[in-house]
Amino acid sequence: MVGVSTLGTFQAQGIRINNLQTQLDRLSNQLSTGKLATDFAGLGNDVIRSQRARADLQELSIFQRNVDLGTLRLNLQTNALDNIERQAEIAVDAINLEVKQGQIDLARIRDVADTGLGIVKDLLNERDAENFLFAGSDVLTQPLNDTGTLETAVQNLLNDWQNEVLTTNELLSALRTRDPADNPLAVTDSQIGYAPSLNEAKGQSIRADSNIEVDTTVKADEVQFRNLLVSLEVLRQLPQEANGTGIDFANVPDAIEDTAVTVTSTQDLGADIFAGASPIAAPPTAQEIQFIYEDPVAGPQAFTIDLGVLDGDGVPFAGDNPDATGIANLINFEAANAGLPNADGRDIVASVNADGRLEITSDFDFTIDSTSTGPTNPANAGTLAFLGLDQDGGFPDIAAFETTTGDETTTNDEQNEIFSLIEAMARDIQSSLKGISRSRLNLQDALATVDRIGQDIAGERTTLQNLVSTVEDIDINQTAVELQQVQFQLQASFQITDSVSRLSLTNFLSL
Amino acid sequence: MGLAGLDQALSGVRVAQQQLSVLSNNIANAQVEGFTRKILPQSTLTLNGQGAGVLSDTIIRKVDTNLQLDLFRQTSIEAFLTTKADSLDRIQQFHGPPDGEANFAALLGKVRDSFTALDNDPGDPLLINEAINSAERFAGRVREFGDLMQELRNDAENDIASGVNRVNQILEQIADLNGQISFNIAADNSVAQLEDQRDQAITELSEFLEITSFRRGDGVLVVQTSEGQQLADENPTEVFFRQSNLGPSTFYPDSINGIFVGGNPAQNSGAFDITQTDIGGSIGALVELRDDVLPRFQAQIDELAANVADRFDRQGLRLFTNEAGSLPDFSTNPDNTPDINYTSPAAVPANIFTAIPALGGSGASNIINFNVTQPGIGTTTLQIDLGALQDPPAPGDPRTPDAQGIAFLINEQIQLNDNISAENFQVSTNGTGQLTINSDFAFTIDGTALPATALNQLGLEADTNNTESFALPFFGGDTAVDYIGFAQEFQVNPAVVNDPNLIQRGTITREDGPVQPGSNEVIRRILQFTFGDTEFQQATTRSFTQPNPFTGTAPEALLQDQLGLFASNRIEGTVDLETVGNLFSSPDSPLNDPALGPQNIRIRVTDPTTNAPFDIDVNLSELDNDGVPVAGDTPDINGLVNLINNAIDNATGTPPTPPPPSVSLPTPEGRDIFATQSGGNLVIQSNFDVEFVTAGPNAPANPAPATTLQFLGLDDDGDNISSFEATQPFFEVAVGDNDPTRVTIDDDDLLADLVDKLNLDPGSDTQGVPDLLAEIVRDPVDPLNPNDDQVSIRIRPGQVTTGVDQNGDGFDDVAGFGGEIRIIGGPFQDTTGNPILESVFGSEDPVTNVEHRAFRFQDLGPEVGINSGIDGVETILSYAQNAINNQSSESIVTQSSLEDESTFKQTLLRQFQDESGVNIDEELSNLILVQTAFSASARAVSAIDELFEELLNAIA
Repeated sequence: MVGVSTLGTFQAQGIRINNLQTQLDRLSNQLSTGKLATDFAGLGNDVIRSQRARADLQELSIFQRNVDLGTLRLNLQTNALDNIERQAEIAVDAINLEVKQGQIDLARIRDVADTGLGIVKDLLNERDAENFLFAGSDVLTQPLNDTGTLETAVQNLLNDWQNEVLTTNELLSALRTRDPADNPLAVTDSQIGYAPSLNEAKGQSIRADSNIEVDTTVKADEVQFRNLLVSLEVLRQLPQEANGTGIDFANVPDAIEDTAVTVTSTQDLGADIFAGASPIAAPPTAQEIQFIYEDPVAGPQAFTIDLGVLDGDGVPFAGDNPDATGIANLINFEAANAGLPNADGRDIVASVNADGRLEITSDFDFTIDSTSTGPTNPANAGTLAFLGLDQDGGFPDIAAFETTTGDETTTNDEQNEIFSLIEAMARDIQSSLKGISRSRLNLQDALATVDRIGQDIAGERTTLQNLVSTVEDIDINQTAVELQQVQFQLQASFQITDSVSRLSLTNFLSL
Repeated sequence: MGLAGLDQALSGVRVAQQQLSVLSNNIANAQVEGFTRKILPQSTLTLNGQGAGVLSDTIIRKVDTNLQLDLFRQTSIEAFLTTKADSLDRIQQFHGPPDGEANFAALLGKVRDSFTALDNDPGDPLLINEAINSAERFAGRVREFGDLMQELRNDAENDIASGVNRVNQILEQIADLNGQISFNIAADNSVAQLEDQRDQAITELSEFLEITSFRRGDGVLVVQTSEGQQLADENPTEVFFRQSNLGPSTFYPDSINGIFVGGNPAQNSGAFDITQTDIGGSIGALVELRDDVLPRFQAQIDELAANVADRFDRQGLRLFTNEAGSLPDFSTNPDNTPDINYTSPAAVPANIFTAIPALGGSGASNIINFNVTQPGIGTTTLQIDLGALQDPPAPGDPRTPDAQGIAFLINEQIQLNDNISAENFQVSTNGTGQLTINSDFAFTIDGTALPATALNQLGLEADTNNTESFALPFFGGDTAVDYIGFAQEFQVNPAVVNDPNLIQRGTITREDGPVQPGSNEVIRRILQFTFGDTEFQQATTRSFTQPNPFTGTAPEALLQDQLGLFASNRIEGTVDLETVGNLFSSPDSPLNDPALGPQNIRIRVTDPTTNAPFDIDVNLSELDNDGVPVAGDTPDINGLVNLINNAIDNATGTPPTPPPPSVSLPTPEGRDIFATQSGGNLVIQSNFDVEFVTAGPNAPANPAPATTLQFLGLDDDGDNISSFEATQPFFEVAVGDNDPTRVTIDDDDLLADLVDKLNLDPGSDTQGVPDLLAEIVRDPVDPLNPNDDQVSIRIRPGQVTTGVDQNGDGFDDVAGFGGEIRIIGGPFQDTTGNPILESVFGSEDPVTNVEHRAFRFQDLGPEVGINSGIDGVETILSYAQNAINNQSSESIVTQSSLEDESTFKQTLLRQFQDESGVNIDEELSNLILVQTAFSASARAVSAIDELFEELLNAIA
């Protein structure tokens, strides 16, 4: 029979009480903190769940913050675009009103443009704290600087236009082009005042989720803003009467589009220009005539024809016959090789008229030259006169032709020109308005996306908070009940210990 | 009788007094730990068959020795687990409560979060500082954890030393008690009390070590370690241990002393090292902590620190470094050192078929199996058939019947087997014809199918049983990784601390200019790739044929020809000719009556290969519905299409003057031109530059009237000449959030030209794609085959390559960054208008993710014997969380085991105490009994005394 050790009995009872006290301590600690454990090991198998949920929860807080800040930024950008749109609309409305009334109050247009331009410039330089809103990634650099170069560039172009150096179309082409490679007269970004680094700037975005970056980029150098700035600058510099509100017609060009010059040969060249008393050396001797023409944009240009190729052999082109048609083909062939017509549509075209005469029509002032200082292998002396292209018919072999005014300058012509310009600017502003509207819609889309993500984040946060709570927090009711149970157990244990200690034979015997 | 009775009564009184003494002692020691109940056995004194009183024997105790041994073992187990749990609990305390978020995983999460916030406002100085602060907090926690590991290891080392000292004291005590017990037994004295003392000492010893014991006949208890090393009998055996100062790179047995039974091994060669045995007890736990658990945790934190630093660096931001601002050398790869380097003892015969005539043919007797055993994979058999060797071999055939041929056969099997890598198992030959096998794994060579002794003759074994085994050496001989202890040096790069804006700009100098202050390009790479699953994205083209440096094959074909992809030119007229109806009778038609003679339009096309134009003249007057020259020559859009296609088909052999190059369509390269219609509009589809001409120098004979081309919708300005340039094949590619760059494949491009166009080289030209790396790579079809001339172009984000692959990841090391790429296909369409993107990059979705350098699972720690216990994890955050999970799990398991084992120990202890301890009530009962016996004996004496008195009175 196994006995019962007194020491063992008391030690066992002590351990039991100790265990109960440990439980009581744990439960009371849980009740006071609301947490299941004070270390990771206390979470048992949920350690990794707890960590991940907490990390995700923290990340969501940052996303929420990003969304909140991004929303503010988007609102600032949208408001700025609204204001820019408003200024553009005011300018267009002013133009439309004046045009509708038929009597243009240029001063009003100039004032509206002047005011609008200043506001648009300010809006494009708007900031969110230290960051420029429309600078892309180059946030610390002011995107648009008012250096006066835009004013100068537009002024120069208008001067050329007023001085009839440029046609209205050429002026518009220059105003609408930003790359000098496309048009030497282009109004460049540098002239407009854009920061040099703006072109290299990348986008801006809102990090709204681990996989979602919402693009919020609107850069000040986008074409709609660029064209709006240029258009407003043009409008504010329109020629105005010195002391009035009307148009300074004295400074408005007439219709220079009507000034082409046509030169018709005074000679019937017959079937073979080399035959008979012709001074022209027969093929294959080079007999060159140089055409020098004044391109208002690119400056003096030239091409050369070689009468020596007119041998009817189809080389270098079909139809190289030694007659007026052959010469016309030859001129057209070399003109095309020289890049005519040019970007503005100006051209030199040769043909044979109904009388069989060679006819040259040019949009440029031009000179025909077969002197020794002209082409490399000038045609023999007297060639131009023989061809009927030399007005004076004598030495030297050079003939100049100027474009001529098609008609007298009239008020209507001038009105048409300036109306064309104003209407073109209005169209450009309208087009800019469409672009700005697109940008604003993009931003509103971004805003909607960000808002939706913000709502998703709120939902996810709730889920994760629940998860964290499930893993880490106690059930207060259950723990309280457990605590009460342990209290009862402990109390009972104490009573048992007391009873057992008094149930001693010693006590019994002493009774 | 009277005297005898008196003696008997007196013996009863004496024994009762002795019993009282024993009982009193039992009661007095009832509460003493380890005291066992003493019993005074009694026996009847018999003389001549008659009872002559009572005798007391030697005091004994009642102990269940088996139960006691169980209790000793359980004491060791509890001490082992308690010691381990205490240490692990310190680690848990270090990590703090879950909601405190002060552990390194939570802090790494905050680093990520700070970058997430910064991604929104890349230039915000407050957020930049917050990012640096979070990085510093994380780095500090990593350092502290590394320090804690060293502190705990040194504590363990110190505790081992203290424990060993105490063990030696206890062993001396046990030996002394053994001596006394032996002596007293010989003297027939009670040894019960001494045995109690010895048991107490052994119990304490069990807390330090797990022991076994046996009792000799002379009462000596021989104490041994659990594996039988004697610790004490009458003499103690010294346990020797010399404490070391531990650092991250110190490890047993290289730089930490062992625990020896038998004294200092320098003085006693018989001293036995028990460190690697199952020591048990608290010392066993301390050894496990010092050599296994804590180094594993250290390996985890080193691995995390090194990878975090590396992954940041690879995205162009060296955020974490050591104090010197540098990173560990990742090129140190333990796997680079083969564990087994075997060189055959003899040279392989120059011709094995001559040396071993039984070999050859196709029988099973040519088979040798190499059985390679890899942890986690199992045994892989590489079977080679010596019969495949050629005698004589064909020129260039590597299967020679000698050492090289055998090596070729084995390496070929390795290439063909997915389970085993040439990095881990390689066979080569040396200059003397011997085979060398370098293996990271244990392997056996099974040549039992070969003719007798053949394996020996082939030099693959030393004996002659046709089998040979190669086991791994105990410590592998591998090289440890370079980042052991890196966690303790881990800190934020001093350069970044000095210039916080580097967080936003990155720490590398970009080839195409600095990162702008509002750009998030570095930060988003960090978010997506440092914290993501993959390091970067790459795309590999389909295979191309390029002259092989080994074979020098034919000149490389043009890239367009290899792709079968040429310039594309789809010209669609602007006029709906279906609505126009009859081309001649339409009111707007400039065409003359077809009966009046030819009306030609010329289609001049230019072949980019010959760069010469050729002309296709189409006589519109043929549209007279007479079936000549082509059926369906109706004067409408259908007839026009038929007529143009007929002219194209007949372009060969009808050269105009001057004669162009002979035309044959499609061209040898596959270029073609044809007419069709789309919604009534004339369409000319071709691979050429196309010009339509009816006037000017290139006009055909009998040109169609002016404005004919305009009427047909082929000339918008009415000059009777219109040119349409073909678009060369192109695609667009962008890195990160850069704008896409168009890359064109021109007519004369070779592979190298395309690579040049992809790589940005600001020094020499401005072409190229910013932040992109492109290189020609040889396809891994058969790297051993010198005739394989298939190559691809691989592109990936980055900037410059060093041309060196130090880290062994298969790529030249990049001094740039990772990130994503986007490839946007060009307008490549087949004749039916379907996209053929796959022609360019192998598939419609050619971009693939390239994983990070994986977290090392094994071959860690200074002795390359540690595994981290964390496998299959890809992201740094997940690794950090898993590290804490792993450490917590260790603590949970230990604590749980401790509770179980403690309960069991308490059960054993209670049982032992109930069997061998004192019950005061029982002792009191016995006391009453003894008191009664004493009273009775005393009464007997008194009665006898009265009897004697009566007798004496009667006599007197």
